[in-house]
Amino acid sequence: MSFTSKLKTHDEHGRLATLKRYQILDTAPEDEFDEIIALVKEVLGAPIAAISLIDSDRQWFKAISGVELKETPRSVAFCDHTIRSAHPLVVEDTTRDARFEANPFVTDAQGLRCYLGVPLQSPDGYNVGSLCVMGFEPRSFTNKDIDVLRSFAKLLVSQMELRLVSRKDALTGTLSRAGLEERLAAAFQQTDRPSVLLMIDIDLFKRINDHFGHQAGDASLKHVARILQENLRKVDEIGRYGGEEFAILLRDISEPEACKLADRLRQKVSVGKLAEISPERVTVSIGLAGLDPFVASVDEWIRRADTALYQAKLNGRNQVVVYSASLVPLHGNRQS
Amino acid sequence: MQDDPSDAIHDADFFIRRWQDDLPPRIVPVLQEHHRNLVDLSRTLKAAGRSPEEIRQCVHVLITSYEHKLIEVIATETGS
Repeated sequence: MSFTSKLKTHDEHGRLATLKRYQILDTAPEDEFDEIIALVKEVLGAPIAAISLIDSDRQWFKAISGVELKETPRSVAFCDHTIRSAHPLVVEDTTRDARFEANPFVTDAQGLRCYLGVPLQSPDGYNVGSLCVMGFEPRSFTNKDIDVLRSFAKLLVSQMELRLVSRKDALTGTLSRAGLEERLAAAFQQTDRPSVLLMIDIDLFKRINDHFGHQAGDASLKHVARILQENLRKVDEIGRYGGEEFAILLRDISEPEACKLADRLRQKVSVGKLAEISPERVTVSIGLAGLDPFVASVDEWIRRADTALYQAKLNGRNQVVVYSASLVPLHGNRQS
Repeated sequence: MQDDPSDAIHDADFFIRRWQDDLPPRIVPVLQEHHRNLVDLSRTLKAAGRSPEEIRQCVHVLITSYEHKLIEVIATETGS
């Protein structure tokens, strides 16, 4: 595998797609990144260190130390300048640099006076963000400082690749359970965005395995995953939640719209042909639960969708059931 | 105690090669690249005048920090 590729600075669409591929924006803090930032700050003796990712119109910090900040508009981000080149951006005195002298982070009371940033270049050649240090006094950065930050930046990118591998289900290419749970936790915090959870289970999966063999079972999983992925919107997230179970996080959608989408997914799966189990067809049951103010935790949200899924199975499979309080609550493990 | 802080990385690399057949195949190249970057960082810190103890501590933190990711991958692959 090659981890170096020519830098692509003029393909913003591809750059954003690569950033999205990392599935890291708006995720919760993670120790591994906080630890890298703590080391960078200590080794370079800087008051502030940050991992900045440049989204379409904002910079978002995966980790930052030395200042309380989660994101800023892209228009005022020093790191937005860093990502435009393969080289480090060195600003020894911000008040003497025409690009930054009027920047609000420079002109405010405790203004930034120095900056050193190194782009985070993905293996396919896109600068998705930067690793940077900043300070409140002018500073001359040495070549050794730059080399150290550059080495940390390379390490950070391979850490992001490792993180990505850990969040993918090898068989279906969807998120792993851990990856999906992370997305659910993030959605749970964003109460201003309506979200709906679908729990999807392949009907009579054991019979597919018993009658057609485990390879046919694996083919069924890939088949269902592909159909679901092809019919989701860009903002949605799909993950393999268990053996034959998928979960989908639908964002920015009302419950009635989600119900229509869920039923469309169910129908698409039911008409799909799979040579490995011909003439049988794969069908799925779907439980749906919206995120409303009465959902106290992510676990409860999952439990609600699971309860609706269980009801769909009880009703005869190959259908969508929307959670309501009148459904019999599901405790412990669901019977397939 | 190891004389050179990067020995820990080389040891880890040795084990990756040795366990290559048992590790999930998709993680091996990513791990190898990560270890190459650790070696580079160790060398850069040394060139920057950092003490062996500082570098050892830094490498230790970095290796420990991705340990959990490695376990996650193996758990995902094996369904455990």
